[in-house]
Amino acid sequence: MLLEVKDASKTFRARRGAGQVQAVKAANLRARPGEFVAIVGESGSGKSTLARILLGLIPLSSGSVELDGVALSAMDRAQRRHYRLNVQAVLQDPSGSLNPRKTIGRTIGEIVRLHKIATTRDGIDAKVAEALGHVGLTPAADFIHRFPHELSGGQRQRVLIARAIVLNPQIIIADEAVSALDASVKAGVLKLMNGLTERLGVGYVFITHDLPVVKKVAQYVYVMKSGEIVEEGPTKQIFEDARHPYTQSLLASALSLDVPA
Amino acid sequence: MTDSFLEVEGLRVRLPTGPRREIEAVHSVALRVERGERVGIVGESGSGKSITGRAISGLLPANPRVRVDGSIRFGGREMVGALPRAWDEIRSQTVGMIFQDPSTFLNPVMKVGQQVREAIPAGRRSGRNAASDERVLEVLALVGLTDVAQLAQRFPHELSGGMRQRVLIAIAIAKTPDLIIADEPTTALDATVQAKVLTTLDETVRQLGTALVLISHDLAVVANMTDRVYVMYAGRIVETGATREVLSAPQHPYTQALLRSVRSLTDEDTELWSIPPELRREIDELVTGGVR
Repeated sequence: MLLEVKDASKTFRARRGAGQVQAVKAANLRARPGEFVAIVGESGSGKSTLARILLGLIPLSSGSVELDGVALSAMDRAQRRHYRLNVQAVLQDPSGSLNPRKTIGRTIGEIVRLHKIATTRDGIDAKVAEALGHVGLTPAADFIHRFPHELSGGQRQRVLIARAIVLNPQIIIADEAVSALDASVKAGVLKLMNGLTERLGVGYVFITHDLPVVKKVAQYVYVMKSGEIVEEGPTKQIFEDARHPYTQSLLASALSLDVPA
Repeated sequence: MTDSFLEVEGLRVRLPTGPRREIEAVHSVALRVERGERVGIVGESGSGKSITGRAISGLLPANPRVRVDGSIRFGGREMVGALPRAWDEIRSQTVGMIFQDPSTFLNPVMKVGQQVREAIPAGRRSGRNAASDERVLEVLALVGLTDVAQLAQRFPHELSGGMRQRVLIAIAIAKTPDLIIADEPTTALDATVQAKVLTTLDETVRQLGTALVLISHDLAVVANMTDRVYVMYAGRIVETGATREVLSAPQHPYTQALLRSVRSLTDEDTELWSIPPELRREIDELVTGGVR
């Protein structure tokens, strides 16, 4: 499976006046199951717009998003369903992405039912428990009756991942999925994400401004600035031999625990 | 009597969480800040570090069920139980504050220059009952902003996040306070902007000899900005010492665990490590003695 963005551009009308904002300019990107791809850049660089393009959430101004060579815009109903099942999202701020009035069990169960992954009550419950198990929220019985506000930030983030993987996707688009978490929880969620790659072959497009994390977990990096991908390459190459001045300045601004005397 | 500029002892803060429930967010905290000293408070979310920061700036919610016990003294002046007017005085002269999200602390319908002007203390006012334009621009320039004359005429929403945070620093230092309390001042900013804003904050407090209390979950920020650090867990201070020593040779099991997880995110040869639940229970037991 190959998820591809080809020469994608997205222009928004500016809020005031007749101006236009080109949020993404002729971007090219590839993601595959089992691969950890990162998009880094600062706020306003267009990285979240690119994430939403990958998810088919906003129409493109030009270019295309393709899954195994079939453009999203040309997909029939069945193909579109296939795409929706296989490309899932985990977004930042779990409290904003979860319905505060639904229990965790209902939140995940609904997805299972809507996508007809299981149809019987028992079948749905089993799927929900399995997904919660994958993200380490065990025993599942302790969590299905809880509401989002009864969970910690890290647990809520895990619920979002459970909700994404319950459909057994091949690629997860994660937009700032760990940025708001404490170090220990962040390490836990990243480890979980790596584990899902090993066990289920999940691939990631990981959008973040957190460079140390990228260095640690990504295999391939795209650097975005002002809507353009200014540099791309294997993680090692980007971190050891960055060519673009912007990438260099990003790397130079990362703070270290070990302060020189 | 002590010579410390700020002396906090046995600080306890209880907050209501429901009609008949409350939590003790801060449980017996002692800390001190000397004149011109740069002190960090680190901890995870929920550790009580922000509530401590709010308590020492007198900015806890004005709710009779919010209870503060213990002692907070500025230059020997007891502030626990003090009237709101006394806190106003402290905040208008002695303590400046910078918070994570500048947009909520800036007035959206007031020009930036005017907001800085309001922060300049009465003693410096001219006959027009307001600080001079010159002084306003001077303060804005001090925090590394350029084209200050134009900038002073703009509204907060016309500025970028980094610029807004600088304006907030400008407002905090405009009254030349003795102490600045900065709670996650750069957490919402991009890495390159964070580096610049921290440099600005660093240079400004150095130049003015202002003491700094920097509250953050980001150990790297604290490592780069402070001389001494307090580590908080479950509303308590579990370890304190010179920042460099605490971060290189932590003594408390919690600090050790926290550092191990932080380093696992950056060090190449170590596996990702999060504090396992059993260890957390042990730390809980050790820190709280079973009382939360």
